[in-house]
Amino acid sequence: MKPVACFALLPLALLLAACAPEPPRQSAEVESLGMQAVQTHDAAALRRLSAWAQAPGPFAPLAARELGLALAADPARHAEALRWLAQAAHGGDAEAAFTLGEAYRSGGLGCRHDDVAARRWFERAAEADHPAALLALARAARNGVGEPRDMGKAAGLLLRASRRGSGAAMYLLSQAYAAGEGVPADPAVARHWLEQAAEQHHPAAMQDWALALEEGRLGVPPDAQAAREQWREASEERRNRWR
Amino acid sequence: MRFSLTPLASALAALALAGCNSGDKTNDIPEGTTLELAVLSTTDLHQNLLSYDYYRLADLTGSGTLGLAATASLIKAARAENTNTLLVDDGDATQGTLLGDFQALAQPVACSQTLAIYRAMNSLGYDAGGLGNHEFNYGLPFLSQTLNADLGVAGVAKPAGTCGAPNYPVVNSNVNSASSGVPILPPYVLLDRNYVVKLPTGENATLPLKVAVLGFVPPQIVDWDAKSLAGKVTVTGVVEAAQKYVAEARGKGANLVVALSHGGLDASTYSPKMENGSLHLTTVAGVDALVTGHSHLIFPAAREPNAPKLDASLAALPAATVDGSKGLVNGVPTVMAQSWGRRLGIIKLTLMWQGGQWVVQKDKTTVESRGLAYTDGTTFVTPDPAMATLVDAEHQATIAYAKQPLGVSTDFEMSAYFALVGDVSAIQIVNQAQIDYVKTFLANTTDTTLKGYAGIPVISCSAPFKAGRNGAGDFTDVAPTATPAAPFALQVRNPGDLYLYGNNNIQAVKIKGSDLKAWLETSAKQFAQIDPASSATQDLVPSYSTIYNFDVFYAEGNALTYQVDVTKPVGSRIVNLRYQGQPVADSADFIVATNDYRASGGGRFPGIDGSKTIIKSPDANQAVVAAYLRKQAGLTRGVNGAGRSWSFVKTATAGPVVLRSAPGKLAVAQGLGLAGVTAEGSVDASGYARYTIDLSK
Repeated sequence: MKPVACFALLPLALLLAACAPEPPRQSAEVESLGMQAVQTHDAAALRRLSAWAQAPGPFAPLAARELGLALAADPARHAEALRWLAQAAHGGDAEAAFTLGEAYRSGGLGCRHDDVAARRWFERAAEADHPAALLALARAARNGVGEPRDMGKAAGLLLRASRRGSGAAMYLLSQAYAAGEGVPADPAVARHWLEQAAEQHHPAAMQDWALALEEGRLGVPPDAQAAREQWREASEERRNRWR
Repeated sequence: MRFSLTPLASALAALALAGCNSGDKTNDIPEGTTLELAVLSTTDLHQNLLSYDYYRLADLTGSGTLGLAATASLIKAARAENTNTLLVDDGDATQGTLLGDFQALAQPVACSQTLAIYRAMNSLGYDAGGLGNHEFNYGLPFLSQTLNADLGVAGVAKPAGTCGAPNYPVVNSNVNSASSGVPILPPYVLLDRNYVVKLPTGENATLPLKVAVLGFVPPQIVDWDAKSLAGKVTVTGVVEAAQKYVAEARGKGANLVVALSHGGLDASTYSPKMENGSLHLTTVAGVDALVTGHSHLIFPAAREPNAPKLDASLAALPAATVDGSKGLVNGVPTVMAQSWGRRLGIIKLTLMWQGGQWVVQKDKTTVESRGLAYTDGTTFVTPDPAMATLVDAEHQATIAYAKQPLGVSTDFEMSAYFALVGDVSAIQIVNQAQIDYVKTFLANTTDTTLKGYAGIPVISCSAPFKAGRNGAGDFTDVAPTATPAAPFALQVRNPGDLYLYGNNNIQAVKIKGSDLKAWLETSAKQFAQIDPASSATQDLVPSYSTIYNFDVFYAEGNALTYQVDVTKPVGSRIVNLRYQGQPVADSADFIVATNDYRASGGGRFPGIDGSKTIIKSPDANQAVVAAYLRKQAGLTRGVNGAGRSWSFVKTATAGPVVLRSAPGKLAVAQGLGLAGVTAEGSVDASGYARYTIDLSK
């Protein structure tokens, strides 16, 4: 399977860069190095990630993903980034697969917009229950992107994503239950997922939860004080939840 | 030098000695000596000093009591209950209320001044503080000045001289200068304190204790405040930072280690990228007490009568790790004091001198997140009156600021009384501001995908947010007296009237003409289906409950126009949708400036569920409107209030059609030239006047 079409060959220098550093002992070590590489574009950190990604071991896919994410920050190195992300995804890294799916979906990382390729990568990430990938597949199903609209399928995917903690999925799932869209209408379930989404600080959910507290929607008992506090929380959180 | 342990009688001498040489005086501490210490903590104060809402200009004292003036009374009580105390703050102190924005943005404090919240905290005798993510909201130069700290970041110079700042050490261990790799603040502080201990004999004595305090913020700060932090600072995971600096502090003789972690409790596998990594700090050897925050929750479960249950997200944490009733995480006492000064964290530690060191007695440790109504669940503590006096000048200045002129006048009344029959006098300016923002954003972007969207029309939508939702008095009406002869000077708080929801951030979505039609159809759901043949009175807008979902679209020069046929069923009401005079094709592309609520699915508009979002921004719609208003020389009806993008399809009805609005506003409709509003009728039981609408005009 080779769903990506926009790869360039890896520069030889990068392939030769492996000089056998101490292998990582835990995933946090790889991610820490990845954070350093993203933030500082430090060549030594990139070299070490590259070596880790190429040496066989349990953390090689993770190292490849972190290297891919670090290179993705540099438009001149998008082709390399995609290559490493694909290696990571093939090695079982769901986040890398999702990142590739998102690149094809949005036309990022130098990829041409391609819903078919996006779906393939999202599905791969969804095998590991990656919440954002499940959400992306749910949106495709509810909007009929590359498939007939299927609200039932969308709701099923939203539920899986919600159980994995996606606030955005919880919010859409709450709407599905409120409107009976793809699932039988059930205000109590709608309320549950709206509250959960607001707890996750999903901006729209925080707003709707505040409105529900004001007006007593979905069986929420009206509570003016709690509503005011929820509006305050939403205003503070907007600085953090804008991405 | 050695000295003998002293009963309380000679404690003063010990105190004196402790100051000059702390050598190995602990050698003679009798095994079994105990020290009780209450670590008191605040978190997420968010610049709440007094119980006051500056946007509504409303005093919240009573059941809405909050703020540090009230917490101060809790602190006072806790100090009375405990001989030995340490007071710390866990960050997010400086941003949150209009007072914070006023002192940082509107009228930034000079180097010689101290932020009001820090002045208040200085008066309370804090021992140490950490940062929160919001401390980075106002940028590094402001942080440097207000902490009087050289952050060691290239290009960020602390003002010369000594600036007003906290009089206690502020620490952080996981944010480093990108240029030097060195922490921007001391990663920890070693506090030499003298505390009263109980000797095995039962006598009291005073002994020194070296307390290390460390601070941590969520690594996400570099994303959230990317504008001011990218390339300037780097972050590390909280556990990695703790592993380094806890050991270092212990090596320098710390007897007790307190971690101030501005993050919540998340039991997922540790990642240095995680936002709420506090739980994992309890796995770092040497952490004795953990103060958490950021998620604004209560931990452990509140104890006052009729207290709320432990938050579901905390109750769901694995019981083997987290004891939500005792406040223990992996056995480490852990507290979270909610937010806005509504609670005080109290970790009461008992330390025992065992085998040459102080050892925390876990079975004798108690943790409490004490609320302002802790005595009986209903009686709130009386806020400290001294605090109101202390910060009165800043408080009054903020109120004056809210009423201050914005610097621009309008020559027309901007109201929402008749927004449901076509008036845009309070909506068009919002749309103009949003279009301006998105066009500027696209013009300046370096993102190749966004650059590819050049040439796609940028349009905008906004709703009459205050249009009767909360009663007949709840309508936007800015500048009711304004005329071309006597323009009205807008005030700082007016953007909040024009754009009600201060929690919204501006976003843009890229959609097709077919999406636009579906969007407009969903907006048009606000109208009842009018039966032209009916002779009964028909209410044009039966409910104002979701009026914030009545999106009115606009394009520059009023180039986008459409009509609503209210005689048709929901879903087939929009006709004559045109852009620049041409019918809008289903395949046409548009970029729509809107808010994050709508873009991510709020209101359940078909296909608008986050998948079409192309611009996300940390800028509030309200701030976008304020900034745009400030840029204008003056607002005129012709340019900013008369661009009516939509109208009703003309329909003669057999019976009357009415619109409920505020009473006494027929003259407003006439002034707007709304020929369809023909008469003001009776006032209904809820106080709305029923205006007759002639849909044939």
